[in-house]
Amino acid sequence: MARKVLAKGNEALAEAAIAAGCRGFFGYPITPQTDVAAYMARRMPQVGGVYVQAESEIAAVNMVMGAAAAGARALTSSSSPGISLKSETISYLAGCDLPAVIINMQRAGPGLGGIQPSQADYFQATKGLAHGDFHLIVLAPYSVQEMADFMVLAFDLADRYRTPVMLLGDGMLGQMMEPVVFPEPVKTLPEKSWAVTGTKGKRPPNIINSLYIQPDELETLVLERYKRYEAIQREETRFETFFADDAEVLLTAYGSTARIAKSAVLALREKGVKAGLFRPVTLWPFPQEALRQAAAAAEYVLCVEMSMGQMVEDVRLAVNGAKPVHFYGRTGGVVPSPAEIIEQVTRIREGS
Amino acid sequence: MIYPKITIFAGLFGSGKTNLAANFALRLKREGRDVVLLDMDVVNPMFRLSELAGVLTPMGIDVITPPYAGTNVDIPALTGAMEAALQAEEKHVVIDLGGDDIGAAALGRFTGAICSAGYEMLYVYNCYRPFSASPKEAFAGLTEIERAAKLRFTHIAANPNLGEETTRETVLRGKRFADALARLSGLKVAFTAVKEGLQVLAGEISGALFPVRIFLNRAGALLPAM
Repeated sequence: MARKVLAKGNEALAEAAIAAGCRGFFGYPITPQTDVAAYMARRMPQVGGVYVQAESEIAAVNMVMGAAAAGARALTSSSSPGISLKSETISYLAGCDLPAVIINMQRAGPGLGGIQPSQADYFQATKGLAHGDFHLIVLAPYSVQEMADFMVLAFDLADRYRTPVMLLGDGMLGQMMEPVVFPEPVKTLPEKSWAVTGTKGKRPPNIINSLYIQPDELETLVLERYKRYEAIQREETRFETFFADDAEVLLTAYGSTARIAKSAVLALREKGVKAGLFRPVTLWPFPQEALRQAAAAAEYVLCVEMSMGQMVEDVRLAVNGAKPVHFYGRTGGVVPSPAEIIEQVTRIREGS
Repeated sequence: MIYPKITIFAGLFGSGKTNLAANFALRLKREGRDVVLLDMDVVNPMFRLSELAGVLTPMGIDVITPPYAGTNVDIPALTGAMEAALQAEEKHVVIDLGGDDIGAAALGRFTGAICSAGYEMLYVYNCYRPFSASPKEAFAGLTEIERAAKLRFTHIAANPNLGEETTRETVLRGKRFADALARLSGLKVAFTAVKEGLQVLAGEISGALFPVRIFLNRAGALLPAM
């Protein structure tokens, strides 16, 4: 068995990307994800890869687009304001059906906001990252081990469905240290017959493009893409439940907030309150049906986020009025505590 | 170790400098010394010494941190109060540096004061961290830090751990790596840090054991993933 290493979340993302066969990292520093870039700067030359600190976030993601078009597993990483800058090219990646991985270690917003952890980019990641009809697959790890495992998964999903994939973490996940076993290095990467690698005069050129002159041609392509999105929803929806089977109080939370919610669940159980947790692991596709079923037996749902309430909208859609859905959030870089969650549960029970 | 006026904890990112510095300051305090702890980390935005000021100050440790540490304008500003502490004759100063050569560069400005006051500088080494798995790699990091800090290390502080999953075997294996680094660098291992309550017997390990309390565990809010 591979040996355990004590790694920060950001380091785990970087090392796992290398294990996944990524040899192109293009980044620009921004707290709290700069450690990804710092790690890559040191590691990429050791494995024959390329690390480029671009002149801007926009340049970095455009380099990713170029590398992805050439068939490479390419990665960029940023934190909230930087992702906003990258958004135009992410739409182009989707429009060109290019596989690539984008990390967002969220910090507080809006605007320049702050450098402390946040989950206020949920809407951006899952609903409206940029213009046009498209989705990203959004993976939300909640431990350093998952950061490593999901990075490999992200590259696999990106290649399988020819789509950009986002790893959505937050500053706390990026900075905290936990033991991790890194995935075995990927030996062979999938064949990419569509990549622009040079025809050598033997085949017609591959063209990577998102511009279509005829509306019906573009519509056909978008419809084909949405068939793929349906396949992703069917095959790749992921979630975890924790004491959810007999839960009267069903918490929903993702990422680091789910860790805090788990502490609250255990503390509530000790007090005799039947609490449980439903944790979406893919934020898009959102595990709508699984959550509907999990909520069926509960008295009510309490969604906890480090935002003013974003995922809660998807929770309400899934529960579809069958049960009351409450919300508790902290924002601005403030991390909720298990005690605060317990207090919310008590308040709801007392009807205040 | 002879406990000169200044003790510096330096090392690679995440090697455990902050936690060791805090524990070392507490030990000096228990021995009746007047201790001041300097947070000279100009690299790390979270899990830093400034978060511990609330715990350490009531224990009688004077903690000096960059003025905006832990806020949204966490800028690498080292205050004049740090310079004053280095010059105050009655104080024992414990310095927590930032990681790698980048973090060690913060020390450069104080080199003169530190040399004239007398110091020990410990290379905190945890072989379970990235870029630390071989003593050779750890030694490369050590020399880079010396160049940036403009000071020589005097000891190695072995800090072998896998966080919550640290066992007796983790510590014993890690100590062997620290010994190998000691041979490579010509430095002595000052002590092996062991989490309080972990069953490592004094006889099992050569050299001193340093039982440490784990401080930087954000509010105990995070359970191990399960």
